[in-house]
Amino acid sequence: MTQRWLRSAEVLARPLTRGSAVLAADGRYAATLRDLDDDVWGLLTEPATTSQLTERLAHLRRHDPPAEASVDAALTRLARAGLVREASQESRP
Amino acid sequence: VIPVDGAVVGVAAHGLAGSRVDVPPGPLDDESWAHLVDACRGAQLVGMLAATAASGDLAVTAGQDEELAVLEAESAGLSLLVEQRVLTMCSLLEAAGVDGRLLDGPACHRLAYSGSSLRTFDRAELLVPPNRLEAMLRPPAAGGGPTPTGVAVRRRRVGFRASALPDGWAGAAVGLGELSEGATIDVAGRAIRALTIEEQLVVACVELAIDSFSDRWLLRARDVAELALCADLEAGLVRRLAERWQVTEVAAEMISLVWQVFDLADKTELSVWALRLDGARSDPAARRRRPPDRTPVRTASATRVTGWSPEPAGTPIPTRRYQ
Repeated sequence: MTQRWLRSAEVLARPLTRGSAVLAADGRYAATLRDLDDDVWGLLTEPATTSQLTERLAHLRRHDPPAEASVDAALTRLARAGLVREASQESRP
Repeated sequence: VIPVDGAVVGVAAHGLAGSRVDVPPGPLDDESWAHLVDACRGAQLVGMLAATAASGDLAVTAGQDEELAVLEAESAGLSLLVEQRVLTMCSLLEAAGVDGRLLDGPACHRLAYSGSSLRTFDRAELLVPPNRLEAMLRPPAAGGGPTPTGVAVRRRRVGFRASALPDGWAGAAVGLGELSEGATIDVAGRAIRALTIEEQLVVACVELAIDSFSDRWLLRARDVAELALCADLEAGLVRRLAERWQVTEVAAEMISLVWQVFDLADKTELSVWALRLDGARSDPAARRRRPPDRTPVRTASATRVTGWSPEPAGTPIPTRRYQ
């Protein structure tokens, strides 16, 4: 079973010069995303697994590639805030 | 040395295609920096100031950079709050079966700036049918009905109006019936109806004329420039709309103004039209022929802020707004 993640549709977001400002449409959560959290958020316009994200982030952050555990922790933070959700729990090749 | 007021224009021009206006290299001293930040906050240009600094065009100290990060996040947060209110109001309108169009801030942000960090806003307006306007602005029923008052609506960052042309414009009203089906913009995954780029540009020109003595005139000017430079814009349609809405003079004058304020290098079909029409109107003989109640705003605020003047020295700057 591979967990795939996607941005929640009900989130308002704006890019900042460094990071993103986000607000849950129901107003329950507002934050400024920076660094790894923002990079993960930025990639989740399409569904992706933790390992796919880690691989893509390694290309984006060549000088400082994140460990899969760090990506997983970022996803957990974003999911707890309601900013991302599971896209599917189906197995993927 | 570029004066700080000139720096504000430089900030307002940051990232604008073809603009030859510069900002000072920086870093600015504390007093100049405070002045610039205050001016940009008042003019709703914090997003552009942050982008100017991030690009390195305006060097900043570590402290200034930190201050800017906070201000940018604050300004972006307020913009999101406005969008949240817009979504709520659009849901209410839809539930009531009321047609509407989103104007101003969030609509302009998406239509002209492609949703970038540059354009922030602290309010939005919705165009509704005149017979529904009263209901939207009616005070809440005793016991606390859900309908907000006009004042409350504005406090909640979303206003309503029955004409696409702004309050303070005494010309023809442009209701929903005068508009096309409009464009659709995406706000948090929801399709919201807005004006087309051409309609929004004509409205933005009138907004600029109305706001030409306010702190926000540079933001309005940037909106006009961005919309006028949109690749998808149909210049002929803009001219026809301006004529139909009886704002041809204003549209031409404001487009001509922004081309000069931002020193735009590119000539477009629309800018050529505007500069020719505005130039003809600025001709002394043409001025004498013009009815006295159509005195143009010209660029009093541009002169006030930047020292820039398109007129020969000694030409009086009109002090009357369009009414």
